[in-house]
Amino acid sequence: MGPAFLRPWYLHALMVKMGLRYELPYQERLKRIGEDLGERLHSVGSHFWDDQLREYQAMPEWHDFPGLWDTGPEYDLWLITCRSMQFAWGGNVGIPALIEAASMAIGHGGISLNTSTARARGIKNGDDIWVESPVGRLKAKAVVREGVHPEVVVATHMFGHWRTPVAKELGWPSMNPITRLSYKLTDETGGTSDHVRVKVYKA
Amino acid sequence: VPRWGMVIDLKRCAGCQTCTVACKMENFVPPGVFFTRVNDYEAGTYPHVQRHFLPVGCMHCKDAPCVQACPSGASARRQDGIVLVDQNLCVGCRYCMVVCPYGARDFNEESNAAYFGPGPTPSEAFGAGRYPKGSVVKCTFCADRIDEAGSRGLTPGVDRDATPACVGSCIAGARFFGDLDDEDSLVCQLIRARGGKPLQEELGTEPSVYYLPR
Repeated sequence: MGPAFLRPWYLHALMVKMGLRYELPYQERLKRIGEDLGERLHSVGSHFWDDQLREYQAMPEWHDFPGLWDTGPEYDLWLITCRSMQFAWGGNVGIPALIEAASMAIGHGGISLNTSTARARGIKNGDDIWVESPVGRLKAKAVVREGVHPEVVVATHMFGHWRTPVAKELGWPSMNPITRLSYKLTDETGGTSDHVRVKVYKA
Repeated sequence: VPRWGMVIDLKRCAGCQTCTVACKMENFVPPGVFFTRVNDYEAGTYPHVQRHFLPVGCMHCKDAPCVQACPSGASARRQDGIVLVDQNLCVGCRYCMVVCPYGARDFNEESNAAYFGPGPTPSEAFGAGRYPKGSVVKCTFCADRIDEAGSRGLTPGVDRDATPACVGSCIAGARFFGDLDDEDSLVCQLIRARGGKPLQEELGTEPSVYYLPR
């Protein structure tokens, strides 16, 4: 089989060999552990957990979230977010050395849009653009690239700081000012769906 | 005497830039200057697009154009293959930057540059003056660590403290370090097994950094 560092290291190959399947999405593990916890609590005569367990849906119901943004043909693109490897959850956006390193990653510092989408609007890479939703609009630098769906524009997440030193001066775009806070878009754990209908045009 | 070299697995690199930042912290690299970095680019046309990451830095060439071009003798190749710039000899002419085919060198504009406006942090103050204003700087393969390895009973490429910071910090295990003249070394085995090649091999500079294909 050879030395360890020369063996196939991808998880997929190892899983196939061991006959393992991928865990299903929708937090299947959470449900399994929840049931396990329920049984343990039963063994000490406690049943309060049963109600919560019944309410938990491993496979959520389908909701028409895009339908909540029925804004007509004027807003012809979806603005979504993606996570930044350099900043994780955003608490470290005030560290200049990380900002410098993140600047080398595609998409940071601007709004990403597909080449064909940009061309149709007369937008070139680095141009100032407006991204406007029914809620408001934000100005940003265009990052024109191929790796984005033509009907989608992308704001890298976690740059909405307004008090954090250094981070508040960064000026990198955030979706926050042009999306709405809505209970309909918020789940029981506080998670939200980061998407909003927008139109994009040259500033 | 070994010939130190690095192997970078392009299949593993995730483009996180941890090596970039680790290098900066280890070597007190000033703002705007990079000893290593990860180029991040896309190839293809939607929907057939791939994202690629290419970590780059000094290639520590066996036949280094920078060493030949340096008029002051500041750029020199050691016996163990590491190309260094003697900051006391560098006159800042930047000929080496012009001739380096890999764009691996930076010019240090300031001597006490700090990341935060009000002044240097304690860490930055500790490293201040390491790179004089107006000198050329670049990757050293963390030569300090390698030079101390013997006295500490450590082996470069095996023990993290005796290995370049970018290698030890890589979250994906994409960087390897070792002796290119030892056929049994990890780096040589990887190059053989995976068909590793240096960048722009045709230039004949014989780099000491090899890339394993995706």
